[in-house]
Amino acid sequence: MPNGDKRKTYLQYALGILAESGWILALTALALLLAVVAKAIWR
Amino acid sequence: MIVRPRKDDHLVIGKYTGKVIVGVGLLMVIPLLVSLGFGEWDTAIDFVISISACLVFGFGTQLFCRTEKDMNWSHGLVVAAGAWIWATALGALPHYLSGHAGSYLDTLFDVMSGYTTTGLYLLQDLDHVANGLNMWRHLLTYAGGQGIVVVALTFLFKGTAGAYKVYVGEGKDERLMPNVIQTARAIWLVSLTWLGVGTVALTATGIWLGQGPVRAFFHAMWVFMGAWSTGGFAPQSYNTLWFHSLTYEVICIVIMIAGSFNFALHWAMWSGDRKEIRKNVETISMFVTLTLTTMIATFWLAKANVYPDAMSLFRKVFYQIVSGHTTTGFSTVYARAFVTQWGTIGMVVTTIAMAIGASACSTGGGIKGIRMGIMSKAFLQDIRRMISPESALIAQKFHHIRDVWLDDGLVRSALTISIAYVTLYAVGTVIGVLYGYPIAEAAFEMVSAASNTGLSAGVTAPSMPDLLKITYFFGMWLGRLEFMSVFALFGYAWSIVRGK
Amino acid sequence: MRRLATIAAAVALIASVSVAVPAWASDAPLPPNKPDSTELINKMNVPGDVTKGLFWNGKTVTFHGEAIGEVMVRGDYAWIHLNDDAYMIKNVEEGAKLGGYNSGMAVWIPSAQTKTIDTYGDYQHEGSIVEIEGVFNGACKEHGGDMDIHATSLKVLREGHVVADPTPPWKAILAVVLAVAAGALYWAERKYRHIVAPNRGV
Repeated sequence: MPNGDKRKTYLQYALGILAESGWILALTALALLLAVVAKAIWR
Repeated sequence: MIVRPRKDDHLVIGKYTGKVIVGVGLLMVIPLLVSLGFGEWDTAIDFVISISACLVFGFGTQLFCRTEKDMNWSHGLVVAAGAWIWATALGALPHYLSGHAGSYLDTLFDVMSGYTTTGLYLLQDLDHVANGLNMWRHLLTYAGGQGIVVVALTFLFKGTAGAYKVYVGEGKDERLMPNVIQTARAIWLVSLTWLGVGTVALTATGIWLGQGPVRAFFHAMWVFMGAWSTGGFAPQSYNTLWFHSLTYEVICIVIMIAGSFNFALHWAMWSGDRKEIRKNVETISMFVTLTLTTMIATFWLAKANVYPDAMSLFRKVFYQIVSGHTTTGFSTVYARAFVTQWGTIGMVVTTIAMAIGASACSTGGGIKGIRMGIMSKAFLQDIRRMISPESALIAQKFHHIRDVWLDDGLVRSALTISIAYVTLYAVGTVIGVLYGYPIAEAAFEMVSAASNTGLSAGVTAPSMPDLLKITYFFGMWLGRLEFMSVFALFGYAWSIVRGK
Repeated sequence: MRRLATIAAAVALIASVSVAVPAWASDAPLPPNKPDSTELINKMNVPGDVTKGLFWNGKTVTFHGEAIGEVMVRGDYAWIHLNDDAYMIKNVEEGAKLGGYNSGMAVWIPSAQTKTIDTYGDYQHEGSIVEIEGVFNGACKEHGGDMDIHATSLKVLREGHVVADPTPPWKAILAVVLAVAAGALYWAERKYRHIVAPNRGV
């Protein structure tokens, strides 16, 4: 595979990992928000 | 009429089972090297014995079962299930030879738990176990997560027709690539890349947290393997509570959830289709059920005033629920704390998360997101049919990499397998209750085993009744292989006895 | 009379110390923790009611155990983990009888005080037995809800040591025999792989 294509492929892999991690971290932030809300309701 | 298998059938099954076991033996070279590196001579000898035993079995069966015939569907299923049993029996040798196990049954339990990426264990004095043995324990989950068969497919199988049948027999049926060998390699590419990224991230964090570099590296690699494979083994008896770190926990959460994704999803995301994560029926299903279970557990534990502030509440609840829902089994609370701090409601919510489980064609277990999605859509479709005029044709689609028509065949198989899981959960719970365990704990533990999660409420212990160990053993196995190949194996045995 | 009493007391004291010192220096079992790690995790204020909390939460305890794994220094304070289970004195490699899982407690202590711990337990070491005094937290606010003890004092009761795990002769012999057998079968399988009997390939 020519170098340009290989680099593009690795870039796709990296972007894939970042996209997956981003989605998960967003879920994590939502969970933190739920905890903050819960503690506000039940002091 | 049951047809008795002919000699050729036994030969094909024997030959390919032998190949898989050779693969297991070769895999053991990694922990052997680790033991040698640390000067753990007795453990190294344990591995020489175990590797040799695998090779004797593997080459011996191949020698005895020489044939040019390829596998058909039933062969594939039988090899998948049968290889697991032999791989367990032989893979248990390092555990047994270490002296840390109460009995051979205990080691079978631990190794089945490893391959099925469950994470329950009966090994005693884990904090004094050799690095080589810890390497083997974690490698079991990493290899088992891919599928022992996938491991063998990558290196040892030639030809693709029969190979695909074994691949499906192990519980996967996603065709990432046109050819099953290429699919196996694609799965490895995803897993190894994440292994590199995850191990580096955790090693750096470990060093920052005060670990020595060697311990930080090995712990990072092992914890990664436990998280990615959604296995849940950890190098210390304190599991991931050992690190006392928000950063370590968040990285683990990312790896656990990523590890619970369908390999086809990873492949789509890595091939440029990054919208897939928002459109896929399984990620949507997990988003919904994870949020709901987290919300219920958070509100309950806030009301019960178990955790003093929002950060503690978030860290404890989300980590345990994610661990349960992805069927990993990592914990930052002690097993009995589920009983003494989370209580019945906390345990029930966690049990539901475990029961639902991860995505299909992933390292995770449980009923699985795709079935939850299919069943929900089917239910909605039925409602629409009822309220629409009789002549209207209501057809429904769902999105899983590509748009798929929701046809009755798909719905039927989703329902039957889901019922099989629920039945398995129920049977194991009843056995636990008959032994005197409270129902919430018995259910928690059996669902944990059969969904291959590995969280424990304290029922699993070396002193547990043998029949319960055997129940969880079969629960783990049936759950991981999604029933079909295990039934095929028993059917094969039955047909030898009863066939004409 | 008073002098007699003083002499008797002194004799009793010397006698008890001379018995105790050898006991502390040997493999002899230590008096069990009260509370031990199991009780810390399990004892509830109202059994069955999680809303009423753990009994030992917030109370000061004296706890001893084998220092396991490593010390993780985080600035002025550090984490150690003390196991008070069946493997506290000897581990399995040294011949300890199997007695269930490990059990212990995480301890947060000023790092300076951990310098006296010379050995941490693992496969090749039996860790120092360390006694700490501190406050037990069922869900520590400072540490994200972790169950821990915030210790204020630390004392090494017994030094740790290196553990050997010798290989019994039968294992070495078995290893050689099986390795040779494996080699032979590998060679045989390769040689005869394509010599398939007639009708076997149909």
